[in-house]
Amino acid sequence: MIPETAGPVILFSLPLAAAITVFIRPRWSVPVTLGASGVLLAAAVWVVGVVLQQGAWRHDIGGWTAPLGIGWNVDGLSAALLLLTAAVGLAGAVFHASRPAPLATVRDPRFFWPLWLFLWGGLNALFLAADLFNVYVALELVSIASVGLIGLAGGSAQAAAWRYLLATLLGSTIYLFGVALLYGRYAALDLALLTDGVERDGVTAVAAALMTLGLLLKAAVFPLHFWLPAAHGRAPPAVSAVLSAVVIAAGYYLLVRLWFGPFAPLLGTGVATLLGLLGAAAVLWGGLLALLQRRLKMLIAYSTVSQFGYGLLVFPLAAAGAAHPAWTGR
Amino acid sequence: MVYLSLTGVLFVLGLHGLFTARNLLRRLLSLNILTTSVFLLFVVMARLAEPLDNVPHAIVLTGIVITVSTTAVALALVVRIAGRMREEDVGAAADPRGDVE
Repeated sequence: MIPETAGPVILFSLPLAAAITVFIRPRWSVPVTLGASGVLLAAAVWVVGVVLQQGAWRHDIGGWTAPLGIGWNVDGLSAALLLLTAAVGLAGAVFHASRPAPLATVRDPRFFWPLWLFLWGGLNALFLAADLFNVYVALELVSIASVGLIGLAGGSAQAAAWRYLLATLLGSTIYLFGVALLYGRYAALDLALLTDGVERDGVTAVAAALMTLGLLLKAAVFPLHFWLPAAHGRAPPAVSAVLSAVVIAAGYYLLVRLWFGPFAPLLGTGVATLLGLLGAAAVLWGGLLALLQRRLKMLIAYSTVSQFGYGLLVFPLAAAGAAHPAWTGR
Repeated sequence: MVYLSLTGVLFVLGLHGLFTARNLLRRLLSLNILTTSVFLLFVVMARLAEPLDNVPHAIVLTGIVITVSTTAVALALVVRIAGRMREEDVGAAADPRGDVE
């Protein structure tokens, strides 16, 4: 019987190991990536199976417990996103590998596969992370890999990558500022510890506002979506898919984690309505602009803005006491 | 208290620079100042804690490593963009949104 911790360990370390391998041996990149992708998908399915069977669990790396050590937390939400990442990652890798070389819009193909795997590893680390600073590290790993992948298309994509880099770094810095305030107030970074100790006061409110602002910028929520269409529209096709499906979802995932975890006492009607209004505006504005686009990739980019607006509607529904219909839609 | 105010000043300075600068390198530097203000906040938190707290120092060290890496990526991108601009149109590199077709 393999211990349940093997799943997260594979999901975290295999992409990084494979990324280094394909960076050193570019010739092996397609077989190594496809093999690793298959194993990662299997591991994600297995993690989902374990969560379905025995529920959420927590793994303290190296046996160091919460205040000092770093933990991994696996529950339904993170397992679902791990599975989504694996499915999109495998599909994107197969698509990119099967395209005939002249059609591929990547200028420097040597760097595509290492960056792809680093992005995957960063996302998995993000979905497993159980403390706020670990989340920041994973966010930066995801940012660097995505910027590299967008810039690979060359030409005007580099300018789009630059704007994305500035927006995403600004978002994570504002997020980190909030983390610093929270740490100063509670001397804890672990999500579970914070959930137990958070009180409603000024410092916590400012920290929550800053972290939410940073994550809204990263999740490209209206009106902070300005960087998304250019970046997603000009990236190579496989990259656009993973950016729209998973990288944006990472910001949204953290918003849900925070507002239904440590900041739950602060989720009053006012905050929830504000988030809901932003979501509604994103649905309308993104949908309207999507209708006006002539290029398919730009249409999908604006559609992404619109779809994540629906995600934000969960906050006012949950604050109004309709948490079950908010999640299931029934 | 002085350092806490300095944190705020640096944060605002960085934000202001990021949104107003037209030069790509200046915007990158503003972002670095912004990050530095956050690190300063962490160090102040460590100093204010009773007894002295060493976890924020570890955080700041990790943060500095991350900032070095992101700055390197950004500089590589600036070099590529600047090289392309030199071929096409030097003036367009100063476009405030960095979005040039």
